[in-house]
Amino acid sequence: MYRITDEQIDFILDNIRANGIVIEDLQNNLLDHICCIVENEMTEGEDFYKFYERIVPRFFKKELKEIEEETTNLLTFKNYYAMKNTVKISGTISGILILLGAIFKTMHWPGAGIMIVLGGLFFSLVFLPLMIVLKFKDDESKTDKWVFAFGFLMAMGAATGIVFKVMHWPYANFLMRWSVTFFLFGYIPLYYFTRIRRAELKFNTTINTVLMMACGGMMYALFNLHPSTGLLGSINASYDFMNNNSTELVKANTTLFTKLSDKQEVKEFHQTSTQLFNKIADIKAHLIAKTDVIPIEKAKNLSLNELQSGNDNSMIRRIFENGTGEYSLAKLKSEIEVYNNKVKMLFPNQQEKIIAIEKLQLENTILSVLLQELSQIQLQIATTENSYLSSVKE
Amino acid sequence: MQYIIFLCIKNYIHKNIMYICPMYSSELIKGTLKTIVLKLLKEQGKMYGYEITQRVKELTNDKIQITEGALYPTLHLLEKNGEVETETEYIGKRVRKYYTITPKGNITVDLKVNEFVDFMNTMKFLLDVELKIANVQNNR
Repeated sequence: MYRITDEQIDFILDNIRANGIVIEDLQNNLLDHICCIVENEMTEGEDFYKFYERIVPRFFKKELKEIEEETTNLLTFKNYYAMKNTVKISGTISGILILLGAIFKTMHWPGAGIMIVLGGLFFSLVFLPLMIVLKFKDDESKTDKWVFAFGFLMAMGAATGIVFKVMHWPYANFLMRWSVTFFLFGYIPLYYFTRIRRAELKFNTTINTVLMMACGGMMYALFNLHPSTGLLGSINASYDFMNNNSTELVKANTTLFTKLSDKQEVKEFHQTSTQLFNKIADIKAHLIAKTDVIPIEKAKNLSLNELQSGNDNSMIRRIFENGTGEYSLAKLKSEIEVYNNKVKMLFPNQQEKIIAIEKLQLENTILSVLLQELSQIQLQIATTENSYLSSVKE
Repeated sequence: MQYIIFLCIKNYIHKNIMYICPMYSSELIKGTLKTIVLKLLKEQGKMYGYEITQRVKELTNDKIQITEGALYPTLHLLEKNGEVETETEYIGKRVRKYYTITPKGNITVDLKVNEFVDFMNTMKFLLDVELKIANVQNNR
């Protein structure tokens, strides 16, 4: 049997590499294979290089590189199928979860939230991105790929936005509004104009465009839904009613207090109550003045329907929720704490007289709602003081 | 007269196909390569690339000759799928890669063989092979 020399091995390896075999495993495999052929099939006295030239064409049709290409093709093609399967599975899972979640939500059964969130996130963060990747792997035209990728990206934004909206998470409106805007005015025209000229796609393109326009347009109509005017009127009326009541009670309390002002504990409680009451009035006026950009004096007696930006939350977030100054939530909370301690001492058996701050919507809300809540606290303070003053004997 | 010539030609072609036994087309082998390789590894234990080609050639009387261009991509795929394992051995300056079948590969090979048997039966039926043999016998 012929023994192959080290120089010949080097020659074969260099030749394999020069012919475009990059994968090291494959290089080794081919090298060993060729060596085996040489050792087993070469006749005594035959020239090695001539023999090599003769046998190498066994490995390919046109060039040696084919074998490398075939290997990478097989390996990536497998991923392609795995991806297609993931798309199918994630699509089914998200579809089922969203549907079930929606049913549970309408029926007020527990577990609706988690289902919608999981389904929506699966849809927008697994299903749609994989669709983009698959689109890029398919051998369609380049423009088609980019147009579809853009569309899927916007769909991802809109789907995430809807999930956020359902869960009352921040930036939901931003996500939904911009995604749908770009979808309607960016993707749909692109889709239409890149495909309408192709005769075989004309019919489908028209139908899809109309469908997408209708769905996108209807989504748009849903963004700025306000409560009905009837409901708004009732809310405004109750706000005014609360404020009027508090004013009346404060007046009555002042009269009552003048008769009892010589008693030290009465004086102290009256002071605390008045202080907190006025504090809240100040916060309200300040927030209205800042948000609507009007003078403080005008803001003091504004009713809800005169409010310009009742849906705004940026100013209250900055000054009230996250602020640290006089008009901040933190400051208010500490003063309510002091007040509550006093109330506990005066009414040891009446839990309901304590201001239950945790039950009120003071965070993550809009100006009109916050004003309602603050007025409610004011009314409670005035009522509590009134019942205290009435119970004290002269 | 023409009919007799036609029969002669037909007979000649028939004989050639049946008795000269050329190598099968690569398209035909491609679909079954995975099955052949896995089955061979299952029966023979550890083998390297050249050995596999020679063994197949031997077992089939040169009827099936696996091309290197198809064998190595398949081996790499099987390795990635975890259906075969490899160990390397240094022979002087070169490296030899031995392939052995894994438990996962054992499952695959059974599935593949069953699938192929089923396929053969279906093809027999579809191509009417038995019927044709019967026809020939009837003609006689």
